[in-house]
Amino acid sequence: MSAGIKLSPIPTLPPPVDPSQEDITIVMRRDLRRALAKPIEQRHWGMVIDLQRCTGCQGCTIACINENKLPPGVVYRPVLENVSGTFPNVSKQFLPRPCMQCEDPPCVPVCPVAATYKRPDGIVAIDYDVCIGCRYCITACPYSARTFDWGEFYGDAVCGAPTAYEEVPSLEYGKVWMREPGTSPIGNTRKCQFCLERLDHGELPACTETCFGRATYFGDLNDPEALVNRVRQDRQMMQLKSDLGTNPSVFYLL
Amino acid sequence: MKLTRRQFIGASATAAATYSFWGIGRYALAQSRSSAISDATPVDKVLREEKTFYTSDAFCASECGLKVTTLNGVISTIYGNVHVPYNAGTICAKGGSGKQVIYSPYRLKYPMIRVGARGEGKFRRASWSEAAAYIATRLEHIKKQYGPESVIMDGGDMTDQDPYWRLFYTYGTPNCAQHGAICDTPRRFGPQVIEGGMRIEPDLMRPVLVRQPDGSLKNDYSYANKMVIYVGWNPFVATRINYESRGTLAAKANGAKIVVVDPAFSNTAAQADWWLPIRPGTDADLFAAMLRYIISNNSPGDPERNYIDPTFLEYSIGWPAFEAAFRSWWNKTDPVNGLPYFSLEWTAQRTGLAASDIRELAHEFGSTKPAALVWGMNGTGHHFNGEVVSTIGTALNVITGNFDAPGGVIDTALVRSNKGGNNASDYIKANPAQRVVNGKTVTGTSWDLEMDNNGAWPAAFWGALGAYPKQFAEGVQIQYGPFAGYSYPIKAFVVRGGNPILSASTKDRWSEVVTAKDASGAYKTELMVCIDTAYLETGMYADVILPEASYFERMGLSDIYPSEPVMYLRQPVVEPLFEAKNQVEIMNLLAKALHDAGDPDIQAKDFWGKYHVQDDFWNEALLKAPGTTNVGKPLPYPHLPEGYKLLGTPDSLEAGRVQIDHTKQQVQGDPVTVDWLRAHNGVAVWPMAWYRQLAKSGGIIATKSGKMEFQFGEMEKINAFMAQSGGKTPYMLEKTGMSQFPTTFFWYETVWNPYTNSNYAKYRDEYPFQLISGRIHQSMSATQYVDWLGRISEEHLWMPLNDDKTYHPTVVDATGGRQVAGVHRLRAGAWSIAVIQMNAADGRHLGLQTGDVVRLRNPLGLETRGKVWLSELIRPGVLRVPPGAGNRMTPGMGQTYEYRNITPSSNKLLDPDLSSPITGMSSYNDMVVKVIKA
Amino acid sequence: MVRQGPVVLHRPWQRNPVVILGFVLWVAMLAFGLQGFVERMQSDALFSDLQSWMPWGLWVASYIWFIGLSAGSFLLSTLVYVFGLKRLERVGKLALVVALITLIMAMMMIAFDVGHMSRLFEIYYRPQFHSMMAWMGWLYGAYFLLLVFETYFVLHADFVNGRALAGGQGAVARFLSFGRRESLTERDLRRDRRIVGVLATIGIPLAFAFHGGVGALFGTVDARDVWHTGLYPIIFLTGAFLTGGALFTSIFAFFWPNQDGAWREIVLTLAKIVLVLLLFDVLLEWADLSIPLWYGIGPEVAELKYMLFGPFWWSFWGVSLTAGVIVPLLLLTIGRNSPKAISWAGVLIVVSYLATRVNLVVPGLQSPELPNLQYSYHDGRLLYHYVPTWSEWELVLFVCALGIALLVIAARVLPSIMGRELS
Ligand SMILES: Nc1nc2c(c(=O)[nH]1)N[C@H]1C(S)=C(S)[C@@H](COP(=O)(O)OP(=O)(O)OC[C@H]3O[C@@H](n4cnc5c(=O)[nH]c(N)nc54)[C@H](O)[C@@H]3O)O[C@H]1N2
Ligand SMILES: Nc1nc2c(c(=O)[nH]1)N[C@H]1C(S)=C(S)[C@@H](COP(=O)(O)OP(=O)(O)OC[C@H]3O[C@@H](n4cnc5c(=O)[nH]c(N)nc54)[C@H](O)[C@@H]3O)O[C@H]1N2
Ligand code: SF4
Ligand code: SF4
Ligand code: SF4
Ligand code: SF4
Ligand code: SF4
Ligand SMILES: [Mo]
Repeated sequence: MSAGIKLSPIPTLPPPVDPSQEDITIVMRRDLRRALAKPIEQRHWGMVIDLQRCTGCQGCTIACINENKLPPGVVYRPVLENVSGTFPNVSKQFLPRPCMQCEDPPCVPVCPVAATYKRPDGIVAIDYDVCIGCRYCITACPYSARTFDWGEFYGDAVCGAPTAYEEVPSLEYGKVWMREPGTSPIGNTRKCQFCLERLDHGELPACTETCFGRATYFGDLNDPEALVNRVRQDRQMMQLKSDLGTNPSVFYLL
Repeated sequence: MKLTRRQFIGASATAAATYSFWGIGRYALAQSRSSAISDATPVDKVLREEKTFYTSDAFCASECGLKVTTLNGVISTIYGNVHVPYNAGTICAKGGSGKQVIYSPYRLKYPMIRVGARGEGKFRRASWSEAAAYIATRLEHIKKQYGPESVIMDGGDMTDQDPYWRLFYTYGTPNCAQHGAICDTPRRFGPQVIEGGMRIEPDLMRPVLVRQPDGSLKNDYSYANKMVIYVGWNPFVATRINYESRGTLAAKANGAKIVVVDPAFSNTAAQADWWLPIRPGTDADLFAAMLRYIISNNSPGDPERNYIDPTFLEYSIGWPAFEAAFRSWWNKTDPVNGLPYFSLEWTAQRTGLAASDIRELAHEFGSTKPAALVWGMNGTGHHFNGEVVSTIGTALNVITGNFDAPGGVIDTALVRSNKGGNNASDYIKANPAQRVVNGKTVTGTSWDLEMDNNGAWPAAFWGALGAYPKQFAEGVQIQYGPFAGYSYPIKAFVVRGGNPILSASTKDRWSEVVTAKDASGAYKTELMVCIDTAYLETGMYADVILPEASYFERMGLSDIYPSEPVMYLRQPVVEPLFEAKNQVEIMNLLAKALHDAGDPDIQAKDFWGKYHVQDDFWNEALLKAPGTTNVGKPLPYPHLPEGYKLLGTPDSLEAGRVQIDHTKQQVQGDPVTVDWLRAHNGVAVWPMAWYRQLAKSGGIIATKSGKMEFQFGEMEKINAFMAQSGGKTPYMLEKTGMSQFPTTFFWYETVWNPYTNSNYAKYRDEYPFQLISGRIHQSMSATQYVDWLGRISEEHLWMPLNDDKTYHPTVVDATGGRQVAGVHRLRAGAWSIAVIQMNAADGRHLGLQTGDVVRLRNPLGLETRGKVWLSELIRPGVLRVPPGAGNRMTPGMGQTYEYRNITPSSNKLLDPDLSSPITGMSSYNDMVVKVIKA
Repeated sequence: MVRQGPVVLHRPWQRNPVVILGFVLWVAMLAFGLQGFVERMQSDALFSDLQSWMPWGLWVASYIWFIGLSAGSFLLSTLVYVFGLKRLERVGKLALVVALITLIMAMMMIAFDVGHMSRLFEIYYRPQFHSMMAWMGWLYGAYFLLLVFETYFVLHADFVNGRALAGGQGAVARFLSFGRRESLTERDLRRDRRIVGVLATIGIPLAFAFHGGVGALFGTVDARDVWHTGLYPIIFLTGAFLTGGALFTSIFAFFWPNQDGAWREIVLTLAKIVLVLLLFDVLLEWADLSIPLWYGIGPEVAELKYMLFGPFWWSFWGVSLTAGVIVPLLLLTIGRNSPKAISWAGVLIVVSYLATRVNLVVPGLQSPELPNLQYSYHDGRLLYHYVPTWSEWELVLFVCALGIALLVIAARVLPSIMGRELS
């Protein structure tokens, strides 16, 4: 439960003409508040990505890097591009790929120290202070959603040291992480955690908030009123590699 | 091993002695690292220390509203500002990468004075006062010796150039240019002459604030669009109009049909319903065919073919003449293919599209309402005949009734808020000037000495930067106006936020002219100043480089291409790094130096005595906001007089807290100020309306006649102006066979196109490829060092084909360029570089594989090199490269510089002697090449 | 009691240029190894070519290589201590010590590989019963203890007997006999033998479990098609027997001080065991490769083809197959009566098996889990192209150098393991 944590205010915009057509980030932030008011085990955070609305801008990739202060080699939400056909009958599909927060996550049982675990709200989390950095979970994730923090800095290539913005801490999992050599999260496996810290404060994940095509929806899958559920109605959907039985909490609208 | 960073550094220093590859001074450039925050600090404490700023981006010219947080004075996060309807909280990959621009060690840090030869890139650090004095002394010398008009001020690719213009106009030169001069004037030509506007965009910005029947103001999120056609315009990647990304797809989800006309299957095409892979340089043909089809098949009674909405005749003049001129071509036959002009067959031959597709497009565009026909840079603005395209395109939107209709098109230039402050253009237009012409003393104004309009480009409305090298070399010949017959040399070039040496059409010609020397061995262009944030090619040729505060460190205003008046603030988020200064400071500093050097025109009251801090300057600019008229449906302010000009904050106008001046037909509310914006989430939004051209007053139409002009009053005026001065035809216009500027429908072919222009048909076999360009998620020539953007790839133009490379990063610092000690290795596949996108079948035919290095050679014997990326996503016979991303010669480009010899630059291959005949724009996409395996 | 001088071992290096060369090589190995070690300790794995898309590489392969050597040597020793194979009686102690040392090497190797060495103990604090890796941790712990005790009891008599030796040998013996002065009685000896027998017997399933388990650690990963086969545990075990046996054979054949007839006979016996294991290993490898490749379809085909015909084809065809199988086969058959040939066969098998281990680990990681992942976000750590860096090799050299040193030291201070009777 996020009791005691101050929720950030929802921005106010002029009201919509048609109440059902409000800015979706505002709607989703209201959804979030409803979810946060429930006990944690009654929430199930999920994401819906509308592949028809993704422009392939990769802004979400960068927004996530920005929010989570990700170093080189670590990426939580790459956007894959699948090209097929021959000229002129071609197609190109953009596929943003956060962590699927699998219902049955193959990455969890392999972890020798239970550093990776599934939270009651569906988020698969990593306890950086426990993770030994063995990378077994990386091999086990069928979505390559996990990357390792090798201790590098973007500044290494340009000034041989961290740049100023790399010394700003990341707030993942509601803790402060100054990336210092030898200390976590360096030497840990890292992955998308649905911007947990932001959720706790009633804010949307970075990728959802900034999504250039407004293609990303986020909310409580257990709440039928939530936009994440409403947008799924009447739409064809898929989960990645659904044959594996991992049952992702990320859905793609086709 | 738990090491703190400091211990780590200590350990590294020890290691440096042991391991040679560690390199001395690996940490020498490390930036501030003191921080009161540690792992033990609770998150809430950190969040409390975070500061939030509403500001605006300038990574690209879209200038989205941002919400930026800082921690201990360092930028922490970058989000969109949801209160700015233009981007509604969304940002793209570039916008999110701003930190890497601001904190990049590649940034300019100190004023620098050249010590080597121009282009050599050798500088020494100077103080601001020394640099200012250096510039002022030379400017004063030039002013005395040659006249102030010998100085060009190029405000470059930034919209907040007003302080510089103010300075240079007051100094006395009329020659101030800006972004438009190098970007897309041909594409703006049609809107400019027909409506007095410049930028037709689809009505896709949502939400828009709309007056309701009950009098309230509400946000409208609904999309009325039924069809959007993007021609040579790739908004998903070239993110200039932010809302076209989310808006296009929202409209599509709402049932709108999206069509993309582009030789390449761009990211926008990927989400479109229909892609038409047109042959480059034939968009005019397509538009003309659509117009012919619509005119000849229009049938008012038939709902299926009710293409033309005659309402436009009420607010336009000259249509019959336009139509007649257009029809006069229908029976002529084209020398290249022998078919009648603008017929479907003719168009099919030239565009490479199926005649049936062209017919369908014309029919659907004509019969679907509302629909929007939108054209971009490369399809139109970057071809020799771009003016033809934009003229027909504008006509198509207008006659079909889509102009300013909900879901149709909006000329954003006509409806946006005014932020034009006092840049002293009024002053220079009135400033009397005397010159001795052919032995006679003539009086006029400084404005009459303006190099383009009075010289070779009387109709260039934004400076013919594409032709500058010619004027650098030959001097300016004034041909029209009071000073006709006068000539003067170009002696100084001050460029701010532009990199013409790389991005103009004539890369090599530029470096040639700015390094040309006179008999005594001195540079002919006596002074070259570069005011920039990064060390780019143009900077390498400068005598003085001044580091400007970046967009996160300075103030400015954004009013970019919205459907309704919106104004938002760019405000300093962090202190300027190193010695960078904002534009107002630089303006004042240079003004003071000029004053001290004895310039009588520059006085304290106009500069440092008036604008003490940058807020003063922008507050003055805001006095003109929004400056739009109270017209349209629904009327934005029903309680205020219709047709009156609106000034003041949205809340004061809404509350009726206004003074109404009936003689000036103006409503004045509380003036918008920087502080007001700060207090209102950084943004002012005024209500939206449609059909603003229908107002009795002419509404938003900004032509002289107050009506849309299919008979171009503006061109008639210029023709008259030319006639007064002896009627000499400008040299480029002459090449098209015209002796005067066209005053209604006109037609000429583009250049270097063997399929449409008979002069070039001979190159068809030997030079089988047309060379074009396409944007990537970098902003032109400035940001290829931005690490995150080098890590993504797109469009089969910017792909991870880098070779494995070990190099020494080099940055400019106090000593004028220095290697960052240590070696950095870039692994193959770990960084995107500019590549040549080539159709896969073409590649197979040439025996090429992705990654092969080739040379592209044009008929002029010019070459560039690059790696090919074989792709199914491009039309055969077309090669596409990203502009500004290849063959980078400045070490300020970091990793990209390291790959300069295997990355292409199409700017090296362009014809330096050709620019669009009317606007003087470079023809970036008119060239043919052959491919030689390297 | 008469103080005896130190037992002077046969010192081959005094005469043998090969051994002198070996010593020089060892010094070089240590020098480079130290550099790798320092780099590793200083730089959070910065100097490796490990990738997030290919997160395991040379170090993990070396680790399973070492652990295989340990399991193999240990199982060889059980021939003596469990199955009472008389002919090998004299080499049992050495086999145990080799097993212990290679286990230490393996544990060092894996500790260097993980991001937070200091947290390895968490495996014991936070039991995670699902994780094959956690099981590995526990089994190693158990196996390590077992080896230490078994070795101790095997050498118990020697410690007591060696108390009077001078120098380090005596000191070690005195320390490890824990104050016991009088010789062991027959009863004591019988008790020791019984303890050894029990421990060795427990050790057998343990060794099977942990090494088969290493195979299972890979085999259970659903996401990796190449690994995800029931054969993996068996292949891992066979490999362990083979390499452990081969290592032991060459150590014995090269360094046994007393190269007499009995020695020769043991060498020839060991050679037969190695030959059988080699053939069996080849059979399994064949099964492992041919089954998925047969019809040329299926998810792992591309990866296996990459291994066989990609840029590192030579590591399979050249190192694993030629140097690791064909040449040793020839040596073990044509040269079946030559201890020299046999010992070189052993060396070849052991060394080349590292390539085989690499080829077990790496191809499974070789192709993107999702198509075009490699074009989505680029980084030197997000590639599907792994080539161990020099520093990675250096760290392996470091571990090898330490292992060799341990073995030499063990041979010096525990002369009995080299067949020297102390009375
Ligand atoms: N990410 C990013 N955004 C930017 C910029 C940037 O550099 N990067 N630059 C900004 C600027 S200054 C500008 S002017 C705009 C430019 O915006 P756009 O004009 O949209 O950008 P381009 O990608 O240059 O061109 C669009 C498309 O035109 C196609 N094209 C080329 N030749 C022809 C032709 O003859 N006919 C037709 N129909 N299509 C053709 C290209 O294949 C390309 O896909 O983008 C702005 N936004
Ligand atoms: N082949 C080919 N050539 C083209 C094009 C094409 O499509 N193909 N496109 C053309 C078009 S549309 C355009 S607009 C031009 C663009 O060409 P330019 O106008 O030269 O624009 P940029 O390349 O973006 O260079 C902008 C400069 O501004 C600097 N800068 C960035 N931010 C700041 C700041 O805050 N302050 C200051 N003072 N400087 C800053 C950058 O460092 C850089 O030097 O290129 C044209 N060239
Ligand atoms: S930000 Fe949104 S539109 Fe852009 S790539 Fe990500 S999901 Fe797609
Ligand atoms: S996507 Fe991968 S990392 Fe995420 S929960 Fe599933 S298995 Fe774990
Ligand atoms: S890397 Fe960390 S989270 Fe992953 S399996 Fe190992 S200990 Fe667990
Ligand atoms: S939810 Fe947060 S952590 Fe996950 S991809 Fe989006 S921004 Fe990154
Ligand atoms: S579109 Fe341009 S202004 Fe907007 S976020 Fe992207 S880079 Fe910034
Ligand atoms: Mo542009």
